[in-house]
Amino acid sequence: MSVIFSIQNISAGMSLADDVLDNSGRLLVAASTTLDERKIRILKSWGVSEVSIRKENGTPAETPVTNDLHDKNTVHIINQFQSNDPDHKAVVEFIKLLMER
Amino acid sequence: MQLKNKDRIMELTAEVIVGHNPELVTLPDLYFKLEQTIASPTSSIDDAAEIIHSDPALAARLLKIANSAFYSHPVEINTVQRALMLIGTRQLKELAMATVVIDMFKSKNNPFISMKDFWEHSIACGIACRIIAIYLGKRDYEQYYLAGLFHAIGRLILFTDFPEIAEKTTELSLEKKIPLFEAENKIMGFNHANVGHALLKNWNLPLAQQQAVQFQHGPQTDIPMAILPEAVHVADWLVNGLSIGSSGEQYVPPLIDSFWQRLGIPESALGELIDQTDQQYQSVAGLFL
Repeated sequence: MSVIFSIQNISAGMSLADDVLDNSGRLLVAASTTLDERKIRILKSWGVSEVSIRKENGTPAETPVTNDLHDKNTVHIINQFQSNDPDHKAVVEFIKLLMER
Repeated sequence: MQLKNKDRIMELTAEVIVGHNPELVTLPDLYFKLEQTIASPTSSIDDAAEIIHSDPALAARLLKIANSAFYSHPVEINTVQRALMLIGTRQLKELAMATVVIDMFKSKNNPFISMKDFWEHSIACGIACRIIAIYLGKRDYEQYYLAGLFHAIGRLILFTDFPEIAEKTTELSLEKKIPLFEAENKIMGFNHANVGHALLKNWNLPLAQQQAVQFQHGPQTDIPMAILPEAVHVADWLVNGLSIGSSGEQYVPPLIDSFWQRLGIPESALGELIDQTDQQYQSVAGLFL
């Protein structure tokens, strides 16, 4: 049993249900691999947008995820803006707008 | 950094990177013919249509756009002439350039980024840049669109023609959590903006567009009246923040305060700018890709 996850919502500890291939069919990360932060970064840097995750009892897919997703989105936005001056008025405004979206 | 090229060791520069791929050195004639025709007061819609007919892909795309929701014309537009009357010559220039260049790079698959993601990011950036220009009351807004459209094209050349360098820059960016252009600076001594500039120079595009691409990540120039680099910089910042497509950059490049100040856009206008960018992007992106 597997569930498709957006790359933004996967986290370390999840296990891949299928091989992840690039456009030319080359294997990037094999099925059954347990993801860690480094592998997640690799998937992101290769432009993978979603992956299929094994569904077991207690995986995030089975628990209500609204807050969790929201938090992950917040973390993602803050992570993306880390090279920006967090006190700059335009940066503050833009992050606020992105979080409201 | 050095590059092995047929037994010769060459110093790696932006010009060498662009020159490495002869297919990219010149733009197809079609674009210049079209530009001349548009600029000439004696030419007619029929003249422009004739040139467009010589490129079936462009003709088809033009009709598709004329019939799209963006124009919401009540009757089907089925000739290039009528499409041109609806779209106008300024938009035609943008459209022709985008079509020609997207086609030039069509076969440039690379392991770092999909062409779809790249052009989504680029088209959105062109749109954001044009919206900034219109907001600031600039009349030559198609110039802004094109500069935005091409701002990351140097990156595409690095990804497709120099994957071993791109692999190092991508890794360094992720490892040190720094923007990719900074990683490029550390590894090559210059970044994708210099490569893009060298390409646009080869293509004989207007100097303002060349400089906009060259100085998109700074430093600030004192070119009088020109705020094109600033507009491209802010457009790229917006589109990265919105995560539309990807130029291979994992982080939102740092907003340069002096660039932001020079544009003089109030923070309160940001919401409007991103909504408009998103809306216009949604209505046209699918027509290109």
